[in-house]
Amino acid sequence: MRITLVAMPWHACDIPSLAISILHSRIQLTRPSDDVADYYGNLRWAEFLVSASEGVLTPQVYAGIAEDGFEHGLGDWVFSAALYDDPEFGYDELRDYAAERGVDIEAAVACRAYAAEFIEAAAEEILAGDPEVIGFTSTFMQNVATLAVARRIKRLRPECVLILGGANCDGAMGHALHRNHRFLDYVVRGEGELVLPQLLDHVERGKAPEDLPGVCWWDGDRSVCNPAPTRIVPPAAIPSPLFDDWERALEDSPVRGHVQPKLVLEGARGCWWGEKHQCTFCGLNGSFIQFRSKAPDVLWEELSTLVTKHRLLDVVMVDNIIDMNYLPGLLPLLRDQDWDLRIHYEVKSNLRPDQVEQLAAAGVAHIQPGIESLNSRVLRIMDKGVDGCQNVRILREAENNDVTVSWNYLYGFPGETDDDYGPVIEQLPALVHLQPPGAASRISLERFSPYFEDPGLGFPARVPARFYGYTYDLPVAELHDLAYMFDCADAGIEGEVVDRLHASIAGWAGGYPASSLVQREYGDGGLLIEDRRAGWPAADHLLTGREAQAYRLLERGRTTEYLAKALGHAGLDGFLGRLLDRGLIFRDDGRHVALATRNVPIRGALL
Amino acid sequence: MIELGSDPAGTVRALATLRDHAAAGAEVRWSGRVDPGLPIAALRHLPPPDTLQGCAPGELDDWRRIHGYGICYYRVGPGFLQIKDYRDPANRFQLTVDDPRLTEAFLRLLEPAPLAELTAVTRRAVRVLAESNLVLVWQGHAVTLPPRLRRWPVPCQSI
Ligand code: SF4
Repeated sequence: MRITLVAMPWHACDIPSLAISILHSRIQLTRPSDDVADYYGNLRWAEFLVSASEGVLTPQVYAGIAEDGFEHGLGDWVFSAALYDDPEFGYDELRDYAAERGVDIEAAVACRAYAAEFIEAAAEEILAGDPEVIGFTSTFMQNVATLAVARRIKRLRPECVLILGGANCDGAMGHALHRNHRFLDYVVRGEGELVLPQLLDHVERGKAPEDLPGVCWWDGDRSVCNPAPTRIVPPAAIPSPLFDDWERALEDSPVRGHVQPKLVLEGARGCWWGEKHQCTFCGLNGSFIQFRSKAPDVLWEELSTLVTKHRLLDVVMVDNIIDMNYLPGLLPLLRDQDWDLRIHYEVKSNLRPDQVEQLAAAGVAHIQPGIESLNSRVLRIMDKGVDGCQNVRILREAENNDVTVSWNYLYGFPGETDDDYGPVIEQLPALVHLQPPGAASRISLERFSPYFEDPGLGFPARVPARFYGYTYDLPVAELHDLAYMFDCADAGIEGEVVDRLHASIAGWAGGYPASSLVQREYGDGGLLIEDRRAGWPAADHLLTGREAQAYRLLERGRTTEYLAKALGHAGLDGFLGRLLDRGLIFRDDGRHVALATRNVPIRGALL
Repeated sequence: MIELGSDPAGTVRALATLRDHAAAGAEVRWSGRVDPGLPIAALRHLPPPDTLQGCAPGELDDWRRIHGYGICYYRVGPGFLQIKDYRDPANRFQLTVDDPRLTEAFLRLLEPAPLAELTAVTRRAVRVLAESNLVLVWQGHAVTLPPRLRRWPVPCQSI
């Protein structure tokens, strides 16, 4: 069969779609006589915007909506005009929403003017390849553009079989998408590697997929939703992705000059922490949290082959959490190549200093450690399995190794109080030389998270996030099944303490580029700490003898009792108090951790 | 006082030294004198001098304004080099070089050399690289201009 796999906007323009690249490879392996092509509708949209707007709506504008529009559903709203053949659809509602929340919608409004025309062109372009089956993938804000183009294609060529899959189809969302959109022949809920080739077999033989787990299909006008698969896809069934079509599409595209292309790879699915202690706010793993990973040498083979083939050195690992076996198994292989890789990886924040060093040496220049908070009590509420001092430690170690850290400060956890924030906010000025969070934000209620699944945990009432209302012409009950994000009453801190948290994080971000707090070995076992932090008087602090010894012990978060025992000396309160006053240590939950770094990264400004 | 221009061999050596300092993001203080023929705009990724005699007004200001860590550098991959060049704000480009003649010449001239010492093949490659100011040729001497960075800045996506 001729099959086209489609990635629509707002998939990022600098990376291939891992979903269609893996499935492309999987179809080739399982059904070698099929003819498979990938269509990058996201790139076509970015190009369309540039030319239709005569250069005003640049790939940067595209990226702005793709990266920041999700929490307001802006990207989906852009295409709902095309889905419903109504240029005004949801316009007033969005305008009110934006005015209330101070959201800039100018770019989205400008893009929307071209959406219908683009959908028309994309449908024709996809059909020009004469596919018998079209598979769409949808994650984040790809839903409405995908629905719009699928609807158009069905009108133009009703016999073409349309299949939708991807993270947006997981669980109840998949059935809601299917039953409300008659033009979608099938929706695949859950992982696609095993079931998609089987579904194609059924389509080819004209057989109803009654026995295929997770598939939604039509029995006449009745949408049938088969039970979700009970078996997870084993790593052996996840082939190395095929990026050839993406490479061609990007090379031929004027967008190429505006992006730094990156490879996207997957070593593991699920979360080894979350399968035992799922973080209460986290819906990332969807309905399958069970952890499984490729063997380190298999991943190495994939990565090195793709780097060589596509001549790209930037790699985004999409794993929700790194497999700790990759530290001994994969990182040395990466380190031993003389390649200038720049890898992004999500890690757990309790990594030891030597582990951060290993990551950096292997080219992992960018980590996302899920820090979320610097207060141990709040971290316990969210079941993170790390404490505040460990989180500060990883920020310090990132600084020591020139590693970029992406993180957010989350608040709004049921059961947290102002007292969990006051002491942290007071100490934030001392952290100004460490990488600040990208933002402080109230947690959102996500499907699949413990907070969503168990209303007893603190969010009893919830409705689909407001943006679904101005994006889809569907009743609330349907949106309830289709939505990933939900609105609910705020929990946890409110008012003044929230403002103070935001203000001090803004100050942190402003002060970071010019701040350093560096320790150097001094004389016989001493430490000289040079304080050049924004907001602090320039000072050099000399620690000698037992004090220097104590400060070194505090590189790990330690209690006063531990220190006293290790040094054989009680009465450290005065010393620790002085360190705190000078902002040389951070204290949380009875532990103290040293703040001085051994290195100051070169601070770059985003171009 | 660094003389750029009058002594060709010394000039390419000095540029190589500045390039290697730029690779580490090290702060360098220097002053110099430049021959008017030398393309100063191709040096904006090197640490700017405190003073520079012989340059046209505004050129040193541009250098200071545009200079930043990682505005022009190369990365090594298996069988290819990736080059990013933002020295000219009006013509920023990224390039993947995998022709072995070009990569060899590029890497060879990290150590500056007189053209006369190079093979004919390398000299032809140098001509190509010089067109994009990736190699500077000055009165019969050549040097590769972009450094291989030794550290990622924070945030690493800034370059
Ligand atoms: S937040 Fe991270 S560590 Fe926690 S359950 Fe989710 S993926 Fe796992």
